[in-house]
Amino acid sequence: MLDGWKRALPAAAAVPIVMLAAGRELRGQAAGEEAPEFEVERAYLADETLFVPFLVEGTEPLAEALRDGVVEEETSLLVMEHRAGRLALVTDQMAYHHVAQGDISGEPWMVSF
Amino acid sequence: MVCNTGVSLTPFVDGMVHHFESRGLYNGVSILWDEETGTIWNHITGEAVYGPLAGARLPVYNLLHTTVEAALEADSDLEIAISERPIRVEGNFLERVFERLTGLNDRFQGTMAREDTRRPTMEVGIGVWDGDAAKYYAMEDVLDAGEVIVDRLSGRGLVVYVEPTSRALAALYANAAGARWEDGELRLDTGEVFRGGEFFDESGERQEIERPLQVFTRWYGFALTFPETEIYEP
Repeated sequence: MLDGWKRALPAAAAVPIVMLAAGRELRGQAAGEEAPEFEVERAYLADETLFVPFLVEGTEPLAEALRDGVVEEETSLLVMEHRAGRLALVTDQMAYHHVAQGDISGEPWMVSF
Repeated sequence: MVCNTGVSLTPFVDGMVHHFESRGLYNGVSILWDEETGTIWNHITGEAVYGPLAGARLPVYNLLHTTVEAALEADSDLEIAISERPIRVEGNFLERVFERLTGLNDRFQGTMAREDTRRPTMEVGIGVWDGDAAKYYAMEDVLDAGEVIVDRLSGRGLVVYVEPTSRALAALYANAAGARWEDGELRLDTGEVFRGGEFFDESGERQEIERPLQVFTRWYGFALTFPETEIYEP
């Protein structure tokens, strides 16, 4: 499976690389610490998608979804606070899709869960 | 995913929208793959970790846990995106997941190099980060403190609390020295009040909520993503 994934990459990319080069902005590391190397041989990588992403083509008012019985008051939600705007997703559905993406007024957004 | 970690990002690279999917695991957490280039991305930090775009990064924003009731109380105009998948509504999603998943199977463990043993692997907590600073708060410690902790992150006042309806942890910036829950309201010693998902100053004026980046997560997922993270000690 891993070999299949590697074959999909250009040859120049198919070698382990340092996560981020020194001097670049590091969010996952304390100042002055060297970023850990991504050890591709340790990764579990599938040849095909593991879960079908949710490609969002439309939204509706949450109040209407509640009124119509699509969701209930206690339904768990994830609310993104993206620069494009705020948007709710159903937690239970995102536990299946893991990724959702779309746009708000032309500005792209994505959620990973 | 098992660690229940989520963020929102901007899937825009070099002037074009890329399309992402969950393609595997690394350090026990999901990794993303984009169909345009085949690059592998860290799904929490938005960093491209392997492949043609290695070193690139996607802007990251928060993804907060709540419920329909609480979301509408905070914003009656909020929009929702609903997929074709069925929606289960029995019980609280987080409580269900945390009760059911108490360990990692071999597939997850096989992707982990070394564990940070300062806390239990599957412990539930919140990880926050701002620039180079990262800190973890165990759910147990927040509950023991009366469901709210006042602390500091990157030189700023930080309030970590249990969100009343979803029972998830969340964090916001506020310059308070103390805080307590009273009648469903989070009262800060500055006179500020957090209620119904909104934040009010001492005169009752609604304020914009400022939050550090945060994930409600399992310890192992945060520790392996932010290996130098501090841990809140009561």
